[in-house]
Amino acid sequence: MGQDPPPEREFDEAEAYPLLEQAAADTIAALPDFPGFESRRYLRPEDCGETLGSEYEGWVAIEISYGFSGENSALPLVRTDYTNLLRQIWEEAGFDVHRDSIDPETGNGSLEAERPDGVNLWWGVAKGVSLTLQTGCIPATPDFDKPDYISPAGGTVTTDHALAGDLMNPPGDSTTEAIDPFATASESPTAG
Amino acid sequence: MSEMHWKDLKQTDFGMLKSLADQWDAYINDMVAQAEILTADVVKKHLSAENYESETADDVRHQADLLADSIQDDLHEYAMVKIRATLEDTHVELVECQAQLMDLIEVVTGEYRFEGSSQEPYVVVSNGHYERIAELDVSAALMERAGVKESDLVTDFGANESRGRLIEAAEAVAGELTEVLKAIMTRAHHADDEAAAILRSIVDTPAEQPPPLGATYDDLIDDYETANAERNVAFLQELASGESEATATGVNDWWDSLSDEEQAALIDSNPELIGGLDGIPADVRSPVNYDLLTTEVEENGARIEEIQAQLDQMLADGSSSSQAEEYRDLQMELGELQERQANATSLQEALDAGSGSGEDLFLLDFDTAADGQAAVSVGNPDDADHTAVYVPGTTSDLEGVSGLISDAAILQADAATWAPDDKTAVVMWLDYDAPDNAMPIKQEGPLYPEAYTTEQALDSRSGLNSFLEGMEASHDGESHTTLMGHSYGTVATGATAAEYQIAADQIIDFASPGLLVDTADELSVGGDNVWSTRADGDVINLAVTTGAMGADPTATEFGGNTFDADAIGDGGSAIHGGYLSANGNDPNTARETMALIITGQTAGLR
Repeated sequence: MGQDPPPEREFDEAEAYPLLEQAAADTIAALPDFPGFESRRYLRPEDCGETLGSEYEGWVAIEISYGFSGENSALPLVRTDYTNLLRQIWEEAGFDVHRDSIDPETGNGSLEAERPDGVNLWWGVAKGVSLTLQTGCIPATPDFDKPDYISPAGGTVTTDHALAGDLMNPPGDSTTEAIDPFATASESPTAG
Repeated sequence: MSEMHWKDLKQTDFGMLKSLADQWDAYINDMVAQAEILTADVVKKHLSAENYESETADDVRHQADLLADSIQDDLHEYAMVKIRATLEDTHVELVECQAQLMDLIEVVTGEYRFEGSSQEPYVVVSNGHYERIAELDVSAALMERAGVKESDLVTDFGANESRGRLIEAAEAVAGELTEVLKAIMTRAHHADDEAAAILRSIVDTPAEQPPPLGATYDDLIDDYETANAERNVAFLQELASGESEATATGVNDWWDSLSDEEQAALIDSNPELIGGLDGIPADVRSPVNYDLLTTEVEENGARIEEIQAQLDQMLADGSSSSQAEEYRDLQMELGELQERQANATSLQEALDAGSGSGEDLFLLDFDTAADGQAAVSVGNPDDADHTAVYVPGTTSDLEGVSGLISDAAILQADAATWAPDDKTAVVMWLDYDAPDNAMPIKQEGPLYPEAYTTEQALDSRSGLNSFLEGMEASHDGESHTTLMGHSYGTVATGATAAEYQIAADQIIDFASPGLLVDTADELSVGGDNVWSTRADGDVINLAVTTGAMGADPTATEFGGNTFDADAIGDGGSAIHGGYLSANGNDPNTARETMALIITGQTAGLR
């Protein structure tokens, strides 16, 4: 069967990390009495050529995620109020809320919304509540190894798995000019 | 070969095995305490050098110490490992098989009955059920199975025709129940046979005792002490031999009974026997295996250089012709070594790259021969609240081990995110020879894709079952274990769970061509604990339709649980490999559901 060519994307691999971190920061900026995340994780970039076929050679998919502690995940504020607020914000912003499996009784499930720039926002609720941000397939940046350090959304996390897993450069070990995550216009509906 | 009949399994009170195990436990503890009294009180106090000072007194004290050590070693090796652990493990397995049999009896009572021998049990439709079918007095479930509606029964012709269909349906159900019964009895036979083999292995040459004091003592004591120093090595060799010498619980109990010095001595002298021995803790196996891998890479590299130099020399001086056989042998050795080295370095590089999350990677076993095999855990399974053992499928080998470990890392990260207060470990288990190809390739004779045969899955059963038992034996406290498979990996997991009472609580299969069973109840975890998914457009559908690997696990008739997976990828092959993808253009249903199942959050999923 013939493959569709990859769609045009507005950013590449190197630009993706600050963009996703900005998206996370913008998302939580709208959440009142935010208790902070417990963890941050990065997945290794996924080779889209392997998963989607030869048309995607030289393309990668990036995913980062933030998780609340078990204790904070149990708070009605986090698991219910935030969920309802995000659903409203994302719908009002015109994002494509393509999955809403939140169970009205238990509050468990997922809310997923895709921004016009293709960034997928995935809010998950179970014993743990989490925010995952995905780029989908974007052009790989030649010779790009890993991103420079970006402060976690919310300012701090208890466990930075991205740093521990050596998927980002440590603070102060910049290989490029410092990246200002607030320099480019954000797609967030709540950005100032 | 076990002669246990289903009636024996039904009627036997296996509690006596547990009682015997407990009695042996109490006996062992008492005797160990007595041996310690002998050493601490009698030798060191009453018979101490302060009270008795002479060469004879020294010999007596030494003899008492040797006797006390020998008693403890005998207790550990025979009473604890061979007898107590075997009785305990056999009790657990047979009680589980008995419970499954009782559940099955409840299902069949009144409508079906068991027949057949201990080796060939089967289920038939009962006479009463046939009579009720003749009277068209049957359950709604059977009518639905037979495709018979109430309206069909109105006319004589319709009623007669329906009787035929109902009989056919009832006999088909009997066939399915037969497979469940056979699977239960197979597992019971395995437990019985293994226990018998281990207990029989006790009837060998018992370990020597210290020579008696007397005229020949000085002549014999040195030989005894030399042999005694090797006792732990000899027992380790027995355990690692692959013959039924002990259960994984027994191995773990024996390892725990050794002092730190004894453990260190064995690691130093025989690391190759420790690294892959199921029942040894993960934090012991892993550093041993890392060292073995490093050594292999170094030694392979040195030997490869040596051979290449020899071959170059032989070419230069013409001896490649005059000593053609030696030249050819060296070339073959070089080829094999290069293959091993490629596998070893691929594994080493993948381990050096890490999990990507800061979680430690534990190398629990490896073999660099042929396509290569390895078992790598993301996180320590011995102290995890949840452990998943993930079996990858066709074309999996050490060349691509980095991608397989990444898959395990994604599963582990997802589980940790969805259950942040629980520790989860995910083991990538490629300790079997996965098929090299799924598409037909031309060879001499007919087309022969390896993935279309069951041979490799069947060969994996014993090793996978032993690995799961080892995980359970070395786990701190109760474990919660999920056995997972992708593609042909599901054939291996299904074959294992049908054959053995596996040490796992649930099974997840994704992109499966079948689990080599007709119904989920044939699997030892029980149908309620089997979770299956397959995305639309997955190329594996072609294999499912052939039925070659058993029934479709996502079909309602299979009797397990199903969950959704989105088709991520362009084309059947891409979709087949896309279940764990991070492609944000598609929903992530399968990743989410698998994380919830692994962490025991299944309440909202059924």
